[in-house]
Formats: sequence, C-alpha cells, structure tokens
Amino acid sequence: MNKWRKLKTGDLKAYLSGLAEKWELWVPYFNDGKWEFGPYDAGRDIDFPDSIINVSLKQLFFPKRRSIATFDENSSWSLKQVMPLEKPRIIMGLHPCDVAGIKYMDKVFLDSEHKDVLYEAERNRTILIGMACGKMEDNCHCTDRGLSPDSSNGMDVVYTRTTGGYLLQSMTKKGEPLLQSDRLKDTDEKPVKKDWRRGKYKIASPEEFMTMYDDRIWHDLSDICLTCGICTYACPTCVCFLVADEKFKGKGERVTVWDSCQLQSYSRMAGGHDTRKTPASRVRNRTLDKFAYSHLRYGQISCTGCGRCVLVCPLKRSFPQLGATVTERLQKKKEKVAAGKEED
Amino acid sequence: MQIEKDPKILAILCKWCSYAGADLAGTSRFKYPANIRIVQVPCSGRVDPVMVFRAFVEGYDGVMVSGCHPGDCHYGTGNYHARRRLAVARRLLEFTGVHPDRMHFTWISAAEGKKFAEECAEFTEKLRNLSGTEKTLAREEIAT
Amino acid sequence: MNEIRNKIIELFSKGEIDVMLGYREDATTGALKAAVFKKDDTLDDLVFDERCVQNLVNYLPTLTARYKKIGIMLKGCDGRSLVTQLVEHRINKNQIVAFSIACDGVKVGGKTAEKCDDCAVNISPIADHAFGKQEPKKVPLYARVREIEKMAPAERWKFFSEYFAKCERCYACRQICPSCYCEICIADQQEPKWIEPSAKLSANTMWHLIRAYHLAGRCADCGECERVCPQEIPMRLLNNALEKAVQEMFKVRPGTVPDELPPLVVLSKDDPDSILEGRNE
Repeated sequence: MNKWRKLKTGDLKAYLSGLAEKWELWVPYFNDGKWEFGPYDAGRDIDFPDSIINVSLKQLFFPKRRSIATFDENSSWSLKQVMPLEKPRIIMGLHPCDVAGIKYMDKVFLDSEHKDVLYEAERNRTILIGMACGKMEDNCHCTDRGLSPDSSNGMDVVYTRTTGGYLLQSMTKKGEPLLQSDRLKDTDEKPVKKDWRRGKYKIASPEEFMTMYDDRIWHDLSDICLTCGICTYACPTCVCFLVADEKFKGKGERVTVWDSCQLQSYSRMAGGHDTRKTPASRVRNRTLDKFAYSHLRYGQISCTGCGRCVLVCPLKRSFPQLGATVTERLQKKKEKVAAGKEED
Repeated sequence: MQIEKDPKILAILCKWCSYAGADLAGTSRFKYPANIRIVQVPCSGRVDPVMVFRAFVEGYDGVMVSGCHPGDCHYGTGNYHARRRLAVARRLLEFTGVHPDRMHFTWISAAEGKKFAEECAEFTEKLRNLSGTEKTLAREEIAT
Repeated sequence: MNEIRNKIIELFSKGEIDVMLGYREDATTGALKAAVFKKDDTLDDLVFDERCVQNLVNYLPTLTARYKKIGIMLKGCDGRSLVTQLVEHRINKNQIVAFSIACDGVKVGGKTAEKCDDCAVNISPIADHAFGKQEPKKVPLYARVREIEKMAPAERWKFFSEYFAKCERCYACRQICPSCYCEICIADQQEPKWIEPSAKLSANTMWHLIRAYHLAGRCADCGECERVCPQEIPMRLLNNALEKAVQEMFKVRPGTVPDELPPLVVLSKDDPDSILEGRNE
C-alpha cells in the first residue's frame, strides 16, 4: 500500500496550478447554487463537494452529443472518422459512485468485440483523482450496492479531507506522477475510518428479480410515472444512445446522442409496432435492467446507489424504492407459498 | 452566420391565388429579385408554422407566406386559419429574437402579378438593410 | 383540512367517487407526492398545503380509463388545466368530481414558486366542491415577458440561445404537460424529420419553438414544465409570451372559461389583418 501524502489547504491552488501546466485539468466549481465541472481556472475559487452532486459526470466520457464521423458529398464523396482525442487530462473530485459508474461503462464500451474507440481514447488519456465522501446525503445508498463512500476502487489517486488540508494516495501507476509535487509531504496520518449507514433499500438478487417479470405489480408502480426519462439522463450507468446522420447541403455529421428506454418512442419500429408501448413495460424494463439484466450481461448490477434518480425525479419518486417494493412483494409471495397458500 | 447581402428568401405560396400571381408576374415580365425560392401549397391554411421555423434553421434569411385575400379562399376558410396561425408564429419568433423584418405575410390574388413583384422587392430591400447582422436560428456549420 | 377529508369520506360512502386523487405526505422523507386514495385507505396522510406543487390533472386520462368516478384536488392553475383537458374532450366531466381548494401560492425548494408571483388564476374555474377562502387575486401579469419585450432582437436571441444550448432534450417538459398528448410527438417523427434528435442549439431551438407554438392558446400555465427541467430553462417565458399574444389578439385566456374553444381551433372572419404585423399593444 502506498503511503499517504499530505497537502495543506493553503497549498491547494499551487498544487493544482502545477498539475494544470502538464495536464488538462477538470475540477468542480460551485456556481449559482449548483455544482458543475469545468477546466481549471486559477482565478476561481476551488472547493470540493463532500458528497454527491447531481451533474451527470458520464458526460466526460460519454457526451450527450458526439460526432463520430463527418462526410461530404460535394465534389468527390468522402467520409472522415472523427479522431480520438489524445491530450492527457485529469478529472479531480469524482466520488466513488461516479467512478463505479465509469467502471460499468468500461464493461459496456470496452470489454466487447465492438469496442468504442472514442470512449477508449477518453479513458486512456484520463487520470481519475477521486474524492472520498465526507458524508452520505439522504438519497445515498451506495453501501447497499457493495460500495462505500470512502472506497478508492477504480481511482488512480484518492484523496480525502483532513484537518488542515487533504490526504492523497496513489492507487495506480498512472496516478504516481501526480504525487511528485513538492507541495505534498509524506505523512503517517491516515484517514479516519467511518461507520457508514446501510440498509436503506433492500433489493433481491438478480435471479429472484427475473421471476417478477409477469407480476402485475408493474402496473401499480407505473401509475404515477411519466416516463420522462430524467432518471436515465442523471444515472451514471444509463448509456443508451442512438446514432443519427445530420446533413445539410451535402455535408454532414454522424452523431451519437443520448437516448432513453423510458421515452415513448424508444422501441417504436417501422410499421408502428412497439414492444414497450405501455409505461408499465418501460418501468419494468428499467428496473429489471438495473437490478437483473446488467448482472446477466456484465456480472454486476449496474445500480451504484448514488441516488441521483431520486434527486432529479420531477414527481419526487424514488427509483430504488421501486426495486425495494418489488423485493417486498417477492418476499410476500415466497411466504405465501411457504405457508401453502395460493399465490395471487 | 450573418444575413447575406443577397438575401435568400423562401416564399410559400398558395396554389390558387398567390402562386398564380407569381406566374403572372413572370409572364408579364415584371422584374423581381432572383434569390427567391418558391414552394407551392394547395392553400395558405396548409402552412404549418413548423415550416417557417425550419426554413430559418435551414439558413433562409427571410420567409414569405402568401395566400388568397380573406373572403376569396379557394377552399372557403383556409386563409382565416392561416391568418391566426401565422400571427401567433410571428409573435413567437419575434419574442425569441428573430428580427421582425425577416418575416413577410401578404395576400396576393391571381391577378396581382405586379403586386407579387413589388412585395418581393420590398421584402428583399428590408433584408438587405439587415445584412451583416446575426442570422439567428440558423443551423451550425458542419466542419468536415 | 378535516373539512376536505370529511367530504371525501362522505363521497366514498355515497359511491359518488371510486378514487380520490390528492397529495400524500411520505412518512419517511416528508416529501409530498401525488397519490391515489381508495375507499378504505386512511386519509390521515392526505395533505394540502404549500408543498402541493404537482399538477394532478396529468393523471386523469389513465385513471379515467380504470375507474368510473374520480375526485381531484385542484389549485387554481390545476383547475385551468382541467378546463383545457375537458374542452379538448380528453376527459369527460361526468367522470370527475372537482375539489377547488383555495391556494395562496406553492413553494419549490423552500421558496415561493415564480409562477405564483404573477398567478393569473388562483381559483379553479371549475368546482363541484369548494374549500378555503375563494378570493380571486388581481396581479399584474406578464412582468417577465414585458422585460424581454423591452430588449432588442439581438439581445433577446442572446438571452434565449444561452438557455436553449443547455437543453438535453430529455422531454420532461413534454411528458409532464397535460396538454402534450400526441400519440406520436412531432419530435419523434422520422418522415419528415422536422426536429433533429441531437442536443445542439439549432435543434433545441426548433424543439422549444414548436413546443411553445403547439401550446399556444392551450397552455394553462400550470408551470410544471419549468419546474421539472433539469437545466432550469425558463420555458414558461415562451408560453406566457404567447398567452399574452393570444389575449391581445383574440381576447381569450386559455382555461379560464369552461367550454371555450382554443383560439387556434376556431376560425374567425373578423380578425384584423393587422395581427399579421406583429406586436400591437
């Protein structure tokens, strides 16, 4: 295990400016009552949120609109692939749930025969400096998803607040050069281990979830869901996208844009056939995907317990609560069967 | 992008009156500016403001819509609907920052070839006065 | 509040309603959510106070398909919304029992909602049972719209384009609007593809213009669209600008007079040609 190094609060700006000289550096800013990520600007105040922010950080690797090729039909036909970026960059201030989301995206975009080269380039050029959370927000429940607010899994460097400054530790070879700065001093100090709350949402196993496919509970759960899709835009592991060609006067771009399985036209096909016409079927799809299908495909359930879906829902519903409600009903069904009663 | 010195105009004309009027302007050899693209619709009531919005996004400097005079619509009442729709569309576009001179709505009958030429000339002149200003709503350039 | 609860119990016992659509206080989080109360449900957690932001009219089309008679709690803006849905024949009045509840403004995130500052209709225009002091408010309208109208075109575009560029095209505004119910939304149409799906400025602008235009003369100004936008785009400005335009040109404010047809549906031979020339105050 690498040693911890300490950075005094007063040296923070100097340290970051040093990093910004060699890397493209992205940090969080508190602006107009909201947190957002932006390129490092020595003229602005720097601070770090102690817990989750509702900006969707998947944008940094999987933007809401990305051009993947351009074409020109004028004169002679040409098609040019958009070249991946190579400039090394650092993203600082991500929390464990954000990093868990990125690791899940890696499974989708990298670990397959259809590797996404633009995503791969973004990952290769990026060093992740993750921040251990200081607290859990009301909607946080990463502890129920096998994570922890102070986990350093997937990070190249992890840092945490301490008295008088920050403690940093490099986790990978990629992260080591970042701790060479002489603003950091070796220290025997270690972060204090916290006891984190758990047990907010009890979720059944993926196999058990699959048995609920034909249950009528989905109609009740979707009664007050507008399938607007905001939860999918905020979720760090929702990565559905569609590919569109945008053309004008012979010149065009092929772009990938965010899509959402919750939208009413998502599964509509030519001829009008639609496999998920009802809101109930779409709510079922998302719930099963987060808690069961993702496990079947990638060996881990994709919900990271960040709670962003709860934060952004316009109807103030809780998506993880849907999973918990289904689990409760599953429990009741099992009890009924065990007691020899009829299933209803 | 900016409004051009030779402004490009899209004219949506109803088949029975305005388009015939434009035809008459041509056969009578009335001169009018060349940068006008004409789209024929059966009735001004067919014109959906989404066409007007889309025309601006596609890069037209100005959009003109013309139909039969109220009371003379070939289909009876189409132009009454058009009048309301286009009035609302204009208010919306002006509100979001499209210069009022970029829209031109008129009634031109099949016998008014001269009027068609005059309206086109007047509209083109108004747009020339705006040349160099930002062409709001226009789509982004595609870098290839 | 008890007056409301007692009335609901009375209606349930007489069989005049099958379900009640109202607001329930969540026991764990304290948040207020839309909820359907059935006959034997407890009404202890049925609440109506300044946290009742959501427009319940949204749920009526699905509920009217499942239940025969539905009671609904309506603030002023919600009542306007119900009137627009009734006149478009989306719901049948004889399936609805309308509770008009006097509203003094709602709070979003602890602050009074902006839509309540220039509330045009604070008492539901439609009511079978009324609760609270039913006093109409007289408020100067369209203040924000007038601010924009003072700006030059270039300034206005700068103001709006900054917001439109942020749009993610999540369509939450469309989903939550009771008046947006096309089976295939124009934004989803492929042939012709009027609006490009990607979230770039020109396509986002098309979306917002079309949304505002399709709601012209139909929008009840419930304000939900602006509340749910994750990017905080002030899209009510567009809706209000057209409400003002329609008021000036056709002397109609949507949702205020039951059974009054939307102005862009009716035809009039008497509109002056001057309406084609733009803003006339």
